[in-house]
Amino acid sequence: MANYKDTIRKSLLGSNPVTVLVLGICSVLAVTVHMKEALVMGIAVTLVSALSNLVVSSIRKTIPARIRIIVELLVVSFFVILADQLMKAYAYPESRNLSVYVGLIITNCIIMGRLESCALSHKPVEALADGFLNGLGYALVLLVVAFFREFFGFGSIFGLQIVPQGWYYAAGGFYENNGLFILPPMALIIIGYIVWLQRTLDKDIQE
Amino acid sequence: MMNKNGNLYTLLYALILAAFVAGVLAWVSTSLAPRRKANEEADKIASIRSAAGMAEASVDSLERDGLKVFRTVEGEDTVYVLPCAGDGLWGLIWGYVALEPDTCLVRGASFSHKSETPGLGGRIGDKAFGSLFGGRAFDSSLAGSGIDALSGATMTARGVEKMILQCVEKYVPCFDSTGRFVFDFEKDGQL
Repeated sequence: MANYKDTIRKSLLGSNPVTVLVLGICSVLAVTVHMKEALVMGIAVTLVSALSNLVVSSIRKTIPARIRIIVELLVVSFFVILADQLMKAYAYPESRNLSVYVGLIITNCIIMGRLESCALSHKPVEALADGFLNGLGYALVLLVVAFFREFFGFGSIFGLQIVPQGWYYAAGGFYENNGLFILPPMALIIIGYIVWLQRTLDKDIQE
Repeated sequence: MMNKNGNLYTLLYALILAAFVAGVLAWVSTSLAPRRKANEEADKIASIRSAAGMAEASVDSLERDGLKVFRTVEGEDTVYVLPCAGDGLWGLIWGYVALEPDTCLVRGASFSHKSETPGLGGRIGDKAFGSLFGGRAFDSSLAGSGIDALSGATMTARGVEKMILQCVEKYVPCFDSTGRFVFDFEKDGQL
């Protein structure tokens, strides 16, 4: 049991794919303007990562060595296109806002990284858990970054207005949303702070 | 058991896996198509309504000589909305320009895109961007007067500019000498 806890903690924090391994940064910059999109993207990546890890691990003994990467890509693209189709049918506004980034999950280094380093050498159940947890680690960072960006950029959380309308300049108040938070550079700055904070607290991951 | 690293095994493996994946995806795509189409249609109507600034308007499409116009009616108000389409940086962009009744002023506009970068060119889809066009004259000055500039998205903004110029040019014949939008379109369908 302690082992499981350790694995979970490691995937979400100690070896978090975004803040420690610094993978998948591009999409973090792009999809963290609103928490809702960040959540949808986080769920999509978690499912794709978990399921492709499961499938690749299940067929790992049959994959011809020479086309290993291509087979992995095929499995990943299968789940990404599936996710894209489902989102277009059931979460249309979010899918519109995420636009190309759903398709680009195929090239997300986190997923290929987990397939190469875990799925090819572990049993399906372990691989499934590993893919799922790493996806969650990515989703967690996405949500934290999106929280700050949406709160300071729009004054809302999950689309719900938090800052009272009366506080805004336009309504005679003293407050104004910070436009910088909506722009991609701010995501990088927030990730920078998270990386700094995490490495200050956790001596094990200092380099 | 075949040699796992042999050519025949590799080839067959790739073929069977690819065919299987393609088959399943094709089936999913076909069975979800009606739902996807309905979403796209609803989104189109919402964009037209948003351009016209009428949340509940009924929308029908009209046509004359291959020119399409949308008519939105809400209570006493009737507003004509012109569609436009062009190329952004990565793919198609399109939009709707609503005209004030009896003038050649723009009432509002809304834009959409297929694959512009979220947070950069993707911002043409924001309500705030479309509303910048409100109150301006529907002529070639509509493009390029600074309102179509988006920092970090020069190429997309240029696409919008070009698209609007083409749209203005296309609908010139629909205005009379006093600049009024002349309506003599045939009804084409209800949206």
